[in-house]
Amino acid sequence: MTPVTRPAGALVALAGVVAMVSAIPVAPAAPAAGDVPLFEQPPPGTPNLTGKWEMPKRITHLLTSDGKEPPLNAAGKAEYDKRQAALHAGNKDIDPINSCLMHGTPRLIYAPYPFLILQTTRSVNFVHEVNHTFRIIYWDKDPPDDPDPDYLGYAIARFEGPVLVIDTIGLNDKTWLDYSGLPHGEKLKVQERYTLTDPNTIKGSVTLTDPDYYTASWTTNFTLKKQSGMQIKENVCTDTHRM
Amino acid sequence: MTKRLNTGMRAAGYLIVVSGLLAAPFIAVAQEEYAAPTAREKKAAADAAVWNKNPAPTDPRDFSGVWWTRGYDRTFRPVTDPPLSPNEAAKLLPLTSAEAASRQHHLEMEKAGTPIADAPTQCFPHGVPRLIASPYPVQYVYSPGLITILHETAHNVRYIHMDGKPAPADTPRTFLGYSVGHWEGNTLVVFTDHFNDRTQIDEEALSHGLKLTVTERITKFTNKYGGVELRDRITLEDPEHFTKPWTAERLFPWRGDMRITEYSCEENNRNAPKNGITVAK
Repeated sequence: MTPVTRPAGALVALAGVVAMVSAIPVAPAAPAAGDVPLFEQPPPGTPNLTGKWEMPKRITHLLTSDGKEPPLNAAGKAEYDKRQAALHAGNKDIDPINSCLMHGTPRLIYAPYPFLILQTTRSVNFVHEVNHTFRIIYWDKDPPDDPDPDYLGYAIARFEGPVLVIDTIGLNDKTWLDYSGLPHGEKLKVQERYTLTDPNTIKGSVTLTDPDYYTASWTTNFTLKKQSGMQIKENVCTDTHRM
Repeated sequence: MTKRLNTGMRAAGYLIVVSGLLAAPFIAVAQEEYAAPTAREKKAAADAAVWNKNPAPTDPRDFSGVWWTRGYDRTFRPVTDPPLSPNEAAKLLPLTSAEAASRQHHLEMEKAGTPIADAPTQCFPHGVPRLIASPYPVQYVYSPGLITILHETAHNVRYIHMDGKPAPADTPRTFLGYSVGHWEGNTLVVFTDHFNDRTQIDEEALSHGLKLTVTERITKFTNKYGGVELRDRITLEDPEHFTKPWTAERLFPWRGDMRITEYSCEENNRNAPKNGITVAK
C-alpha cells in the first residue's frame, strides 16, 4: 500500500540552482525587480500561511492526539476490519484513491506530496501536487444548511487569533480518512486547525466528528514543514494508474 | 441587424481594432447609441449588472477572482477583423499539409460517430490552449512569484511563474507545460512550452506536437455594457503543424456571482475511451 514516493526536495533545490545559471533561450525578458504586483494578500502583521508545505513524517494511520486508536463504534470497526482484511489480502482496488478518485477531506493533506497554501483576502486555497487537486475555501461565516455531498466537502475558513480554522461538512462517504481505511459517513464534520509556530513550521490538528462510525469526536495532530520555492510538479493519477 | 455589434464577442473585436486610435472608439460608440438595443444587448447589460454586484477588482493588473467564458466554442480560429464565421475563419488556419490531413481525419472520424479520444476524455489535463476553451469557470490567485489559475474543469491547475526565472533545466514535458509570465503594462504575458504531444489544440480537430509554444496576452477591460472581461489573445507556434504563428482569442466575463465547484472527472467517467475512440454514454 505504499505509494511511490516522490524525489527528494534536495533534487528540486539543485534543479533550481542549475536553472539560475543557464541561459534564457525563449522565455520573455524577466521583469524588473518589484514589477510583479500582488493583490489580495494578507495584511502585514497577520498570520500568513502562504507557501509550499509538506508533511515531513508520513502518517498512514491516524491516531488520536494522545496516541490511541480512534474511537470506532461497532459499525466503524466492522467496516475498518473489512478494509484492513482486503488490504492485507492484496486488494489495492478497495482503496478509492487507486481508482484516481479524490482523496477527500482530510486525507488529502496526508498524501505524500507537497501542496501550496495560497492565502488571500478572498479565499484560502490548498493546491496539492497529488493529482492536481485543490480546495478553494472562502472566509464565510456559515456554510449552507445542507450542501450536496462531494469528495472535498463544503469548507469555510476563519482565524481564531493566530490559528487558521477550517470547518468542513458536506462530505460524501466514498473516501477514507487515512491510508489504513478508517471509514466515515456523510455526517462527518471536520475541523482543521493550522498554527504557524515559526516561519517554516505549521502545527496542525484535525478534529473528526462522525456519529455513524465513531463513539465520540476525536482529534489527531500533524506537523507541516515549509519547502523552498513554489514549484509544484504536474501529477496525473489517470496517467500512472490507467483506469 | 447583422452589422450591429450584437454580441459581446463582436463588441470586443471592435474595441481591439480601435485601441490605439483615440478618435475611433467614440465613433463606434456613438453609432451604437442611436440604435435601440437588441435583446442580446439588453441581456448582456442585465447580466453584467448581476455579475458586478460583487465587483471585479479595480486595479487593471488584478485578475483575482472568478471568470467564466461565455457560451461554448469547441474550436480555435484565427481572430479577424471583422469577425468571420467559424467555417470562414477555419480557411485562414495556416496548416501544414500534415496537419491539414490530420485535421481532416479527425473531422471524418467524428462525423462517423467515432471521435478520436482527446486527453480530457481520459481525465488527463486538457493541455494549452485546449483548457482555455473549456466552458467552465476559473479563479485567479496571486501569491509571491506565482499566479495560479484554478480551473473547475477536471480540477486543472495552471501555474504562471512570475519569479523572472526561465523553466528549470530539467523541466519535464507535461500536459499543461511550463508557464513563465511577466507584465507588459497592464497585460499579463504568459509564455508556455515543455508540452507533451498528447493533447489537442481544440476540441474539434486541431493537433500539435512537441514544438508547440503558446504566448498569451491577457488584459482586463470594461465592455460597453459595463461588464468586466479578461481578453486572452493566444498565439500558437508549432512549425510541424502550422506554417506560421497564428492568434486566437477567448473572452472571460467577470463572474462575481460564482464560485468554483468540485468537478471529479474520475468518478464514473462517461466519456472513457476504448481503443482510442471516445465512447459517449
